[in-house]
Amino acid sequence: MKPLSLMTMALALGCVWTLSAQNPLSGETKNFYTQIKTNLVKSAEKMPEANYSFQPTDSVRTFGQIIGHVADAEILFCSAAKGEKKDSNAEKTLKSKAELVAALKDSFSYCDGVYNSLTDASGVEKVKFFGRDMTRLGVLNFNIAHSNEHYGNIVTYLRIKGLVPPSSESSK
Amino acid sequence: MTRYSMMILGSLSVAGGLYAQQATTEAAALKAAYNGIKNNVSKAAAKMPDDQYGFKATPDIRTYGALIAHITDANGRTCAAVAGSTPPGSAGSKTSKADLVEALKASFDICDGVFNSLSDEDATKTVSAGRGGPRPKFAVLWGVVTHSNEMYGYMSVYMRLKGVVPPSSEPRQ
Repeated sequence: MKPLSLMTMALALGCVWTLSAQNPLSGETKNFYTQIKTNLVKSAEKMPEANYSFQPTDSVRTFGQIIGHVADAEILFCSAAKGEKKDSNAEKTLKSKAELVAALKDSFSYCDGVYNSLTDASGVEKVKFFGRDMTRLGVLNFNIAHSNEHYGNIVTYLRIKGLVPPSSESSK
Repeated sequence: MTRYSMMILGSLSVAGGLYAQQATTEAAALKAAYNGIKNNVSKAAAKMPDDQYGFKATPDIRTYGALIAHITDANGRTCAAVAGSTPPGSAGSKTSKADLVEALKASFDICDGVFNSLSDEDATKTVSAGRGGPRPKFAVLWGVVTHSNEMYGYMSVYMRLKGVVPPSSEPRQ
């Protein structure tokens, strides 16, 4: 590597460290978000199309409905954090793997903007969530907790179908 | 609020803790999330019959009882570290419902002390708990909440497979 490239990388890493040090809480929230986003997108891609209609028992969502529900909820939480009105209805309207993976990725693209612009200062600002005041950081952390709950559902579905969940894959 | 947003809200199990309390500060939001998942996990542990604690949805994953033990160990260890107290012994060898429910309650008792004493001044504090060096106290405790939510996601599928309605899906009273 050229010395200039090393210097550029060192400067970039320094900037990231400085931003993280200035925004420890929102920085951790972004890390949690990136982790669950990665696991959910990989899970959606890993499950074969034929298993998108799979449900372990009649009283629970199909795999595809869970993906749609997570996509809808991401939009719900992130639009509240952003102060926008935005609806999503993937769970009730989409069926195919291609449509649902696209909807999930679109929801995360929307949320990326919200999480990436988050700072510790903007995190303590109040936003409206279902008519109540809540901190922006609180709404975005609740979103992560909700996504984790459904990732727990998804892991069980994947395992029942003989697939290794992304979070249990060996790191390469 | 649109009709569809209301439908989603109704299906968000995390919303119970969220909607029941005003969460206008970071400490309040964290406490509400903790109380929501604590309530669900505790009720789920109590609701599953004893003879299903050895059940697993497929051979290569944890039994229901092992999930309870895992949450117990993770929460007890992390909350004790945050509190600066001695971590409790592992629940990993326990298999009966009575033993595991008791151990789970003990771990939540430790966490109650941590979460119930949170204030907004804690937002700037760091603690050493888990992997790595000091991290923001709030972030470590959000980790407790999100991890418990993931485990509850497994448990709710196990319960449904056994014909038991998860606490988060019970009609609100």
